[in-house]
Amino acid sequence: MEDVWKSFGEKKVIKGVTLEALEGQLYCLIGPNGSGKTTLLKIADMLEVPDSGKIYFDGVELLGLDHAKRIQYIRRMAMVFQHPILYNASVYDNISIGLRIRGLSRSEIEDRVKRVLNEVNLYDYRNKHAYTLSGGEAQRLCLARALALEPKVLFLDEPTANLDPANKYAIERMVKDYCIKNKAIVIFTTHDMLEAKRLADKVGLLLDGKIVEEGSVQDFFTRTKNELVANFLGGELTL
Amino acid sequence: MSQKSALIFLDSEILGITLLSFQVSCTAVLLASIFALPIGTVLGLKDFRGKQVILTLVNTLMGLPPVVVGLILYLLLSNMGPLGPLSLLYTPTAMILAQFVLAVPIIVGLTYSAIADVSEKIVEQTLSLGATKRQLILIMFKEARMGILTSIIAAFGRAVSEVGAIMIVGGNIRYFTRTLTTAIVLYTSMGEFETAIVLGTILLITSFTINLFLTYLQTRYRPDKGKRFKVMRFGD
Repeated sequence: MEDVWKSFGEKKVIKGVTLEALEGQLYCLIGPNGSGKTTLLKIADMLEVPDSGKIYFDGVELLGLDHAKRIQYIRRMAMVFQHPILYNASVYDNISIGLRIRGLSRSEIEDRVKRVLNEVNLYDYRNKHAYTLSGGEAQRLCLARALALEPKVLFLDEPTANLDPANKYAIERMVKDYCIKNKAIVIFTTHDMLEAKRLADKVGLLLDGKIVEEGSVQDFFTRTKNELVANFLGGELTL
Repeated sequence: MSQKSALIFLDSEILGITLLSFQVSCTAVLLASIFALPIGTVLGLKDFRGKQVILTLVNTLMGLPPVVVGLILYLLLSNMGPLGPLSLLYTPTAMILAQFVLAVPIIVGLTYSAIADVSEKIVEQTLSLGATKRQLILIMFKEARMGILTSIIAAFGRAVSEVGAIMIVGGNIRYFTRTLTTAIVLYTSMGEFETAIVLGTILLITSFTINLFLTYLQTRYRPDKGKRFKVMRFGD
């Protein structure tokens, strides 16, 4: 994305953000609560329309496309939200919904759902109602729903924020594996610096709607000279 | 049950009255659903100028007195009225029309409420999955299905128990426009309480059977059917 601005009423939430992520790269966007991370991801996933700026996918500017073409690009992306969003249906139906939206054949839907259910370790729950899952299971379901779509770009908005360590590491491992195996672009927001260190290829710090520092994980955490970054990291990680 | 009561149950005239009652009410509710569900859905999904006024109007019409509906329709359908040439007065079609008018606001109002209650996050998630507008509406319908079926059940209840409007526009004509409710009024006024009670019983039993089916549809997808379930909506 290039020079993206977004306001809600009088409040400027995103202020001229330019961000680039490459194939096979896991980009971690860190920042405190209210810094604009979720809004930025929603803009990238075309759920919010920016006031100005450009969004590119494979060199194509998305905001200028008509609705039908834009949907084709949206279908090459997927997003997992911070809080699991579940449909009033079984685990199987919750995962297959995106595939049904894309009009895939029944056998292909079955194959993909079965595969991702095994990956997220929810196969035995396939016929249970989604509302009966625990928080960690529900978040794994949401990740499975996104992975079943085999997206080229995967957005994850603090997906591990409310999870116990076991579920947190399981999701991190699946995301990292998906990124490497599929050469996908993964953009992951978090305010957990250790998580960013574990996962990221590239890290960006969003403060008050602006990217104030960006770089490889090594440079970001050890060689930054930016005072804002040092303040955010609290000093300990830069030592 | 006395022998007379048993004979009333089996009477072909009573059977005809019962069939007509449910034919009229089912047709009216079916047509009202086709007409009102899209309106309720649009009201639930879209924000526009004047929506508040429309919702207030719908809520007011939900409590519309049947006799007022009957009177207005009578004036419209009578020979002097604008729809007089259609010769619909004192026909089952006029009774369907009356019940349709009473059912529409109920279905619109309750469908709006059911759709508006679906979390905004579900809309966002569905759009993020790449849904078209049509697919989004279908998914919203599915999410709101319990509320939507409630609206249909409520509308059917209102239609089948209605008497004032259909008495005015149907005329309670024997073998033609006499329904269970109008017949109950007639037999009660004639002092034939046993017949009236039997008709009331038939009305209750058949209503119960139809509602049993609708309730089955309403609850069949509930998680852990049969157990008390606390709805858990993450992120709301």
